[in-house]
Amino acid sequence: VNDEFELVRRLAQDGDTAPAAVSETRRELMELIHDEQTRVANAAPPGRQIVPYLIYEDVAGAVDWLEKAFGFRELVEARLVDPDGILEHAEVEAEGSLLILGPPSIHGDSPRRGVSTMLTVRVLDVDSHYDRSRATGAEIVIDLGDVNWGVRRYQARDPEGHQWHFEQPLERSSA
Amino acid sequence: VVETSDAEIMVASVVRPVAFAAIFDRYGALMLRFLERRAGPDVAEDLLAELFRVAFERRSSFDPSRPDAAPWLYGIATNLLRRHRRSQERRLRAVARMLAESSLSTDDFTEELADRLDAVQRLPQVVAAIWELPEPDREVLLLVAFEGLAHNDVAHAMNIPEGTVKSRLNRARRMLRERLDDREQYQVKDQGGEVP
Repeated sequence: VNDEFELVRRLAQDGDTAPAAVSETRRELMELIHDEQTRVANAAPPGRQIVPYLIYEDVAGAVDWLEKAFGFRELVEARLVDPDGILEHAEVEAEGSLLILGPPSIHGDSPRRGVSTMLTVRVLDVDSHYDRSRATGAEIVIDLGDVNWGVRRYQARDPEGHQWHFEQPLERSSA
Repeated sequence: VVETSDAEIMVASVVRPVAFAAIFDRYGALMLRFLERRAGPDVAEDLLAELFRVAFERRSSFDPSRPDAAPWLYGIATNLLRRHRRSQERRLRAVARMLAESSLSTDDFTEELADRLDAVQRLPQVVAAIWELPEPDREVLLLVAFEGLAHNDVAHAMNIPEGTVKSRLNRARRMLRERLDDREQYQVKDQGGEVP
């Protein structure tokens, strides 16, 4: 062996670090990043990070009534009608804030029968949010996943039964 | 599919911090290996977290004309390693000893193996020589020899001109050669067995 650098190179040895070292460090880093993301988001103009989801047996009827009685305005472009013609998703604007209305489902029931009002919270990193919820012992009602209306989301029930829905808009892929 | 460059991610991460996670995903394992080679697994695991915390905090100072974030991370890591000189020295000595010892345990003796053994037996001497280098020379040497960094990447990592990288490498090579030649002469004398 004539090359001094070749001898030096032999001293480069890998393989003793804990297999979980990278993933543990990533988790710590994501907490830091998430805090910073929240700080940055809070410094931005107020948005619509928390979106109440109200459950009605008759969504279309509720939208009409809320417009008439309270002066709310439906965002018609957000309407979702099922094959039977039943309105299953509606969004209304109330004094600049957004409300979503939907029929009884996994998200909750009419106030006549049980838990109503799922709170949708728009977060900036739903994956680390999910990890944190699970680690705290939240009951996962809908597992984390992408859905075809353009968000990545999960739903959890808190210890007293309130339904929380955390979502992050999916980015348009550059592919 | 166009891969997003490190520079684009770094720029985006200033206003959108979650973007920085991709930098960790690209370089976290690489940096852990680098730190481990240099200072052993315990220090490496500690420093990995510190490295990315510092990098995240300094993300707005990344030069976006550099497409690749690796040299920048190597530079931060090299700075952090300076506080762990004893761990570094211990690590290199332990590796040299381990390689020398494991090479003795074989009895399949061929000429090629003899050459390799000879090289391996010299590693403790190589470590001593590396350790006698001035710190900046040693850092350049190890970035090139351990990590295979190109001269201009080393220059960027250490924030020095490329010419300085070359002169430090030349000096390191010269010192290593002198040191190992001394050792060989000593061995030849030793084998003579005549003590005046």
